[in-house]
Amino acid sequence: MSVNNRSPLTNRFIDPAVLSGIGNLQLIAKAVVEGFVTGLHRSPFHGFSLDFAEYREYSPGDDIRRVDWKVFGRTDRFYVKKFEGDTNTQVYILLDTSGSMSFSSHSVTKLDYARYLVSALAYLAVRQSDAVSLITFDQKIQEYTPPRTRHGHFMTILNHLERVSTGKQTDITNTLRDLSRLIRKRSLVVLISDFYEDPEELTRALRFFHHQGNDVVLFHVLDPMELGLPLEGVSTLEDVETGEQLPFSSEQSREAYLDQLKGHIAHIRRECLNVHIDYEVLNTEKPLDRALYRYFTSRMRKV
Amino acid sequence: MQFLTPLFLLAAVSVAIPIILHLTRRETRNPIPFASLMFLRRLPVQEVRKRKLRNLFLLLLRCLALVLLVIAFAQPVLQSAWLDRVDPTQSRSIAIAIDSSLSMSQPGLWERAVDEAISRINQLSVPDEAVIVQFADTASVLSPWQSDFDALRQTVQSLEGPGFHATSYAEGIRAAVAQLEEASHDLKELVLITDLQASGLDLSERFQIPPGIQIEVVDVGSDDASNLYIDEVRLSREVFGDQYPHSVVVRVSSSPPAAQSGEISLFLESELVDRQSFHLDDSGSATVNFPPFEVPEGKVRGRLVVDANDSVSSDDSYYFVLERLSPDPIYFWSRQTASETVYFESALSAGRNLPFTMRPISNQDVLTSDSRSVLVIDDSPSPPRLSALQSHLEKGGGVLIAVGNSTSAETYGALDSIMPATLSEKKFARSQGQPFVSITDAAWEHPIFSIFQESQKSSLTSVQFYGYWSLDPKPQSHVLARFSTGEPALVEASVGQGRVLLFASSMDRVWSDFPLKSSYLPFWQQAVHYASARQGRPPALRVSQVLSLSDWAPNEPGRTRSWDVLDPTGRRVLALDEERPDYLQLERAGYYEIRSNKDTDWVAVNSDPLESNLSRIKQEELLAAITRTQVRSEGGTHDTLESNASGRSLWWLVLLLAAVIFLVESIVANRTRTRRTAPA
Repeated sequence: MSVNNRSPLTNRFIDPAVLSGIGNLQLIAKAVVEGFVTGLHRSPFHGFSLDFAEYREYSPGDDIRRVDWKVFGRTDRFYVKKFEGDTNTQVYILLDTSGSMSFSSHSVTKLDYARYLVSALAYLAVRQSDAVSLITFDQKIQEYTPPRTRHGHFMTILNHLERVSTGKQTDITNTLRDLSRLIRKRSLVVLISDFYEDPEELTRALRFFHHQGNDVVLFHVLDPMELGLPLEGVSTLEDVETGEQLPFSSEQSREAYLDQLKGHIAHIRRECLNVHIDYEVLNTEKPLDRALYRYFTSRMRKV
Repeated sequence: MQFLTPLFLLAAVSVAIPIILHLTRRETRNPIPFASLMFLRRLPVQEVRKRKLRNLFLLLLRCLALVLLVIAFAQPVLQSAWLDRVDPTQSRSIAIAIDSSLSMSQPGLWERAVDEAISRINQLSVPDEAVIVQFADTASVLSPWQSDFDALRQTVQSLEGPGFHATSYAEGIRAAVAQLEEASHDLKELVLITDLQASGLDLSERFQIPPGIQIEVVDVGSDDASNLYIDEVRLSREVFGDQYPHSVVVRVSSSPPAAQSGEISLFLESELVDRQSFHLDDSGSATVNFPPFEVPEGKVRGRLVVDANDSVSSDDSYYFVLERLSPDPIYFWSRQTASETVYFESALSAGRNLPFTMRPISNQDVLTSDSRSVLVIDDSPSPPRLSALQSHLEKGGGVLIAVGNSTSAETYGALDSIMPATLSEKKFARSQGQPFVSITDAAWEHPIFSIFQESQKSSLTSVQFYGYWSLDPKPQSHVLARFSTGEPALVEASVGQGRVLLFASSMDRVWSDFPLKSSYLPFWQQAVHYASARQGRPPALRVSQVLSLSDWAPNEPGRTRSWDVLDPTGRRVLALDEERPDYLQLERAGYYEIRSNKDTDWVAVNSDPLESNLSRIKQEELLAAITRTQVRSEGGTHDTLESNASGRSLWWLVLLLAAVIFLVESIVANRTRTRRTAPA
């Protein structure tokens, strides 16, 4: 499947501001998911893993392409291959709720955007009967909703999301360490944050998860002001987490800041690439569904 | 550049406002929330410095705009002469005025002046033009406007050099300006070459350089010069005895004032008569007295000489002429006894070197009349005949009449044609209920009364008159004094070539106590002197004075007016020429010899002692006195001044420039303005 930016599907992507106007996370989730899944021919999480899990006897209705003919030759019985993706996946969604996530230069804060993302991912997973867990954290885990597949668990996730408020500063590595005690089997770990962390420490913690066989996805949520810093002249900036103030001059400082940011993003991307961790930067001013569409199509090409 | 409203320039202090704001202003705007300062903390420090530089540029723009605005309101005017000067191809008309006064005879000054004049001529090129003006207390234009620079150089080099005249900057500048007003080119310059002597600046002369003329003052003077000179001499030319009757008083001065000693000599002709020492005090002056000395008969040339080795030698001598004369006769016509005339005779005999001698007469045929004789008629019941009196007056003689108790109105009525007033009646103070009357009103500025200083007037007004004649003055007469009754006390009239004075009381003690008063002697001496119409001549005149030859050396009556005049160098300055006017301008110090067909006389001439004072003024003082505006340029002894030329108003240009600066400032300020975004 090819991704065509001029596909009519792009017209369907919803402006995050519009999503914020919806208000209801369930509806938002549905809208976002429907928005990008329609363009996909199959579930993005389906066949998620190519790891062969086990055989089972053929049942009428199974995809005949799954029949292992070598086994039939040996046994004269029809068995189909069962992949990891075919099993119920545990999806751990880690949402950074530190103070910096409350920042916004427009109508949608990073936290709001992240909530829409979490709701969409949770909706998608629940639709596929995957167990979804939500962990919100700042310096430590603030709230943990364990993975479940039962009916109504999606609402539990949404309720958790509704209760979320920004906290203190971020400590992702500490959170990931705590999380490692919670995960018992290979899972999909989705980390949503603005990643104001040392990239070395961050990727060191993430490697640990990857080496445990988990599939890790990083969504780097940034506000357009953080991405461009379109300030002019002299001003004073105040850190929303610490309250620290710093004078800022646009001309020379802006270029230096953007260099720093690009370098930070490039470092994270490089480290993620090295350990096969998916990494996507999301602009809170851009439609979320388009961002997910782009991400998932890219992911499926790798498959 | 000038400013029409210079007070507006005080508003330039407003430039301090943005500077103060810039220094005191703090960033008071609200801080902008940002997600994280993690990356911003890593930025280097010099970013802040660059921000300051950018603001400094804005500050400078704002200050410049304010300054331009202030200048525009001050209405600047750029003189066209400046602009003209920028254009080297602009043709110039230059008047070179060279000071040739006595002070320029100091060593080296004249040569320096000539060199400077030549130098200015060498800077000219065709079609520039120049004119040469030489000035001292008068000015002469030595050449017309011309571009023949060789001829101009020749004119300068052939100048005679400094003379004996004093300095007058007004004269030199007026002459030069008059020439410049007729010049061909628009760019006009006046080059004034002088030693900047202070006495040359007469602040009472209100002279201003007209606009459009550039002035350059070239100082060729020296601050090291010193001069010793004869400042003042009290001396009389006419001597009526064989000895000069008084001391000759001389004041010697130095410039600059300094204590010093020296000697001064008195010569008659070439013979040394006396030598005196002097000691100048710190004020730089001293008075020397030469005691009386013998005077030969006739006219003799005298000289006072200071032994001095100073910057100006021509003022070390003071020239004078003494003339030994016989006293003029005063014919005293009186019927009084000797005891009654003693007062008057004593008064006219008192003192030395009196120009007249008393001769009592009773026979009018003895009367010898000339322009210097006076006939005094004192209370005579039978005065001389009218014809004798008329003849005496026609010859220039004077008549002094005092009327008293013996006088008869009918008798003097026969002399009515020569009498200044008619005798009405005798009056006595007692009959008017008063013990006496006095002289209460007089023409104090008249030569008869002018010798009475304020403190001495009472000696005249305190005279008590018991009796007097009531006089009825004639229309052509002048009343010189009045009694307290308002009636005339002294009346004069001109008759023929002479004068008649009529005193309303007698000269004795019968009708007054006048002979007992100290004012008696000087009053009658002055009255006789005035009646004689004698005009004493001064022992010396000054350079630049104009001499009337017919007054000084009259020719024989009836003969052609002619004089032969030689100047102090022996050069004939006035040939025998009847048609030439009879005046002579005295140009040099020394003796002028004047030969008429009657006599030969000498006129001693000296330079003005003010010119011997070498005190200098500053260039800016001179420029300030002769111009309204002043601009100084750097450069040693030269100051260039731009007079208030008709300039070009620049206020609109400056205002436009200020507007452009403001526009640039607003553009730059907008680019540096912080954009604020509202946090969500």
